[in-house]
Amino acid sequence: MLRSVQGYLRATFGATAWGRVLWSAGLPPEGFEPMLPYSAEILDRVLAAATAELKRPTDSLLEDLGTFLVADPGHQSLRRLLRFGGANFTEFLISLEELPDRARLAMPDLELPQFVLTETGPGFFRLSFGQSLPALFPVVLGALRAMADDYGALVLIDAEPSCAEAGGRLLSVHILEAAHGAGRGFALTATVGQQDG
Amino acid sequence: MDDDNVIASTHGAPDILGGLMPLHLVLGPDGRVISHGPTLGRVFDGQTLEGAGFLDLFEVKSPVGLSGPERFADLAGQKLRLVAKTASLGLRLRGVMVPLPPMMRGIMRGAVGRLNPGKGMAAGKRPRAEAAGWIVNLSFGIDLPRAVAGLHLTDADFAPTDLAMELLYLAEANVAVTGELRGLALRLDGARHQAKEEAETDTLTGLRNRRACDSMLARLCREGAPFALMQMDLDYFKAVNDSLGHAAGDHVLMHVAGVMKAASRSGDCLARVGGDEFVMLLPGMTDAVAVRHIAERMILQLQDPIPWQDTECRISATVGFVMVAAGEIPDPARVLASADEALYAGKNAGRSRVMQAALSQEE
Repeated sequence: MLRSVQGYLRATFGATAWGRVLWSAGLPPEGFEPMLPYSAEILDRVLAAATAELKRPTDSLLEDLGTFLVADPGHQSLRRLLRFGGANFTEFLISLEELPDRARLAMPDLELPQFVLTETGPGFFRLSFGQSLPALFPVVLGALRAMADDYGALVLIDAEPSCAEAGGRLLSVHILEAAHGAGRGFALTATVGQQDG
Repeated sequence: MDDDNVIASTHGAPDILGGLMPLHLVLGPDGRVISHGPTLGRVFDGQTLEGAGFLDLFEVKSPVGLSGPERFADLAGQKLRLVAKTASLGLRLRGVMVPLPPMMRGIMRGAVGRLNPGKGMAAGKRPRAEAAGWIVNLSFGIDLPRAVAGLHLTDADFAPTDLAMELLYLAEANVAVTGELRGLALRLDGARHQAKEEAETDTLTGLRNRRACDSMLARLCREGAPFALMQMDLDYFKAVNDSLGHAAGDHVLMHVAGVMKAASRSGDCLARVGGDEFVMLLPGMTDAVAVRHIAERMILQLQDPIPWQDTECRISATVGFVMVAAGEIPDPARVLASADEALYAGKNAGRSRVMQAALSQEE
């Protein structure tokens, strides 16, 4: 998580801005490494510092982070792994319930929140997930929107305001058109150095 | 329900089979293809497979010695290892062959009649006449990634029950994770190198420090290789520090480091082990006269006035050294103590000189 915040802020706002965020959060300038566990309190400090430094609400930054992780050409691997969830956006949504187990196949000690998907009507879904890391909520929102674009689906995704007091938080997903635009191509095997069309 | 009713209710049976098993083949009793799944068609590049002999399409790697369709009955239920006889990919497949269930016989009768008139009858004369044909179901096995890349397969080319997607996902997730870990390992290795350098370096002069010197001395002693150890103390250094200040002292120390570097070979270890104490380790050195020359040359150079701001610093040095012959394997402390004795003998004899000590015997 911290590593992806670092990747996003550095790529979008520049290394200098990221350096100032680290500095005002009282953290060493080397930043963060992937795969290493950091305490949740450090994430809070970084997010607070980024919000102050960039003068943008934390939730909006995190949502952009979610979009960045999926859409940025430098992060092909996450997008591709998510695309393995299904051949269209609906299948992908359904596959989210399997996501923690999929992730554990590759990294046994990675704990992702458990998603629960409920179909509330044709094309209407409600997605909830545990509140272990509240910062994850806007990230998922941004990532889902980017995945909808990736599949070329026309989808409305919103946080459900009424349910904020419930245990987890809820996203409502309304698939208007499964194949609206062209989307991005996806070949099952990626040749090294070659991107999907 | 008799066979013909089954056919009527399973209209388009090959499509149904194709949906369940996209990589299947239905063979007649003569071992020729009657129908096949859609993905198998892609393995053979869209070439018409109907009527082709199974053994003309595939090389059977195991079980070995499969000569013709009359032996198919021996294979029933066994694991088959095959290689597709195609121009380019030569994909390895594995699969299983089972006799056609009686309910399918009617479909076969029609198809066999259409494709191979008379063959169905001929089969009836053979001893294993009861086989109406065979179903072979195949899988890419470990060649899955090659097949997917080479044939441009998608999700839709696999049965929904197939674990192919999970396998591809896992392969890719594995590459992503190991890639991250490799990057992490490289960065940590860089940091480790830097930390080691810093831990073994004297920050002022850039020479090694006592820790680095001790570990190299210990290694040389342990290996039993010949070497020389020189211990050098500066003379009159305290006077420079006292009269001109620490900045001048630091300047002198850096000058000494430069003189030592110029006098040394690339494999030598030059260390500052105390305020104005230096050690030079010369691995492989067996020539005491050469060591003495090196020391004398350094002392001469150090006696030259060292410019400092609008004045100059004057120092000298005294060197004690000890030679360690091959195979001696001495205690490192004894080597240092011997060099130290020589150094103090030199100081007592009036400084600015080089003294050699014999390696002292065990206390």
